[in-house]
Amino acid sequence: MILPQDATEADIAQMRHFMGLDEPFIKQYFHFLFGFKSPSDDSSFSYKGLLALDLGRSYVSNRPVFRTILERFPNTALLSLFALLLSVLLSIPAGIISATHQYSVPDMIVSILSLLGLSMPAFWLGMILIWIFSVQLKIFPSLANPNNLKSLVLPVITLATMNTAVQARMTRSSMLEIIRQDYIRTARAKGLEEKKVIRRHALNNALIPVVTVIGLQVGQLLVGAVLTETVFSYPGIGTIMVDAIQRKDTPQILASVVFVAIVFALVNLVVDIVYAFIDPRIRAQYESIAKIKVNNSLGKSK
Amino acid sequence: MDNNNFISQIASTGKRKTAFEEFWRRYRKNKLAVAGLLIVVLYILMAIFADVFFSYDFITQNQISNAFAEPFTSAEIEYKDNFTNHFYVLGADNFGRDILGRIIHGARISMIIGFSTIAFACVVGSALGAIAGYYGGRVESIIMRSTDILLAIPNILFALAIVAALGPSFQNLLLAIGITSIPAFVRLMRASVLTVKNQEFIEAAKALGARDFRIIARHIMPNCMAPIIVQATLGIAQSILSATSLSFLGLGIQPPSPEWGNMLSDARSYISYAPHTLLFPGLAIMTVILAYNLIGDGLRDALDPKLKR
Repeated sequence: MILPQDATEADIAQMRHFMGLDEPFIKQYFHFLFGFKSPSDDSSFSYKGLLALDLGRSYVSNRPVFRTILERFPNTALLSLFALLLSVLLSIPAGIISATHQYSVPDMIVSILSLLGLSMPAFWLGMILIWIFSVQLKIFPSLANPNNLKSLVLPVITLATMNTAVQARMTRSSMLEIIRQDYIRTARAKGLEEKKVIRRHALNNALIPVVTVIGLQVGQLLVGAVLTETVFSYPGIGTIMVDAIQRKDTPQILASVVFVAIVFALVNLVVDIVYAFIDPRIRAQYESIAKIKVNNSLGKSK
Repeated sequence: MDNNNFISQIASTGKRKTAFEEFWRRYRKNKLAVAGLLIVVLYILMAIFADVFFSYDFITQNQISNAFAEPFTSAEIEYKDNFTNHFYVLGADNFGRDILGRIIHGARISMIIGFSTIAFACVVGSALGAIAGYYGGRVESIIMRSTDILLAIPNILFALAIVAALGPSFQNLLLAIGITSIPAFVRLMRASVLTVKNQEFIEAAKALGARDFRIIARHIMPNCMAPIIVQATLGIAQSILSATSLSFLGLGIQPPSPEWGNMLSDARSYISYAPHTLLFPGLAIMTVILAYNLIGDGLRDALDPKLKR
């Protein structure tokens, strides 16, 4: 790929040596982590390794792979953030209405829509939206780009659909479970109006599992972005990844997969921490662990 | 001797129906779930008898002159040196191939992918989960931490990585989706084994001197099947969706195979001239996934007596 087509066997072997591809896999893995110094004079084959966020240069564009990723990641983050906002704003009220008015017409509508949303492939939905809104009605452009907010409408809807569906179903089932609990009956029995019962007593508890799901969904958003970005040709991390895979641009593939995995893990960590703030039971658990540790260290110092 | 036989004997001598009848009675009440089952049966029949409707050669052979034929039109085609008039029920794609035929053959590919990946993930995942739950200790830590590693990378991303490393082909696609489906089964199986493990009938089996393998296979597993069956149904939906997504990105089944994601990826370039090439394969995917989701929901309600209202 780097060498011309008529390269000889010897050229190929030399190139493999310069790029460190002739080393055993275990050694290459250490290169991947801690960096690789190329035996050739050309310093563009050397890289500092994952721990220094440097996995070398793209075979195609010859730019450092992480630079491309860091440039494009804000675009993906923007898209995911909008999609997350939209899905939370839609799904939680929908789920609550659906649960508090079980078997009513709005409940039916929410249930059917969320089942459809769950079953629709995002890339297909995106293309159908393009056909309706770009080709037929000419309201929104079919290509998205981060500098034009209007062009983001369709991709955000596409990306948010699956999440909205999942969260609405989760909110509904969790709310249904909670409003059958004894303490809700108590709250009603003491004469609280229904709105207050739902808002003060049921909602807080019902939202805990929903937050977990939303957290997991953030990770899924990043991945769903791969498909959505491809459909709308949006310059995000998903299109980098797909392009790199199609062109067999190994450093770029490695870097983008690792990068998304790291972001995914960080997001999950943040969700776990947020969780502790929302749920007093979990907070209490952490506090008691902290207290035990403090006591232990006090005990040792005596 | 066997706890399950014992229970079913009591059940059959008394007025109670057998477990399956009881399950079916509850499942049947959910009209949507029954509809889902019908749709899936329809697709399976389509997949089995695909060659009866359209021959594979016919739907992969180009008929350029009929490209983008509208639905419900007929046009002359050349097939095996014969000129015949062909009626395009759902129109033709960019190479003039019959879309209905491709959807029917695509059903075969999708069903194979769905069933085989989930069968693989279900067997491997349940076995690992059962071992982890039953033995505990270090074995459990190793198995569960490994699944945590798998879970740390989002599903499709992991599949993408596998396909990127091994190259796009049918086997690699199956492998990628199969592996990413394993963790859900491991976790479910382990959780339900933990609840069953300390019950009296397991102790009884141990007291009778049954081996570990027999206890796991005959006494524990059958009592943990409900969540696994539900997960398998939802898993098939997920796996078909992943496969179409990967094919859409050009990383799964390669053209000219009639895969639904593939067809959509071709249709993408012609959204403005030929929306029908886009509409029908997507509808096919959606109805299948919807049907599996409905079945999954129905099974969950029917198998889990706690949710009985």
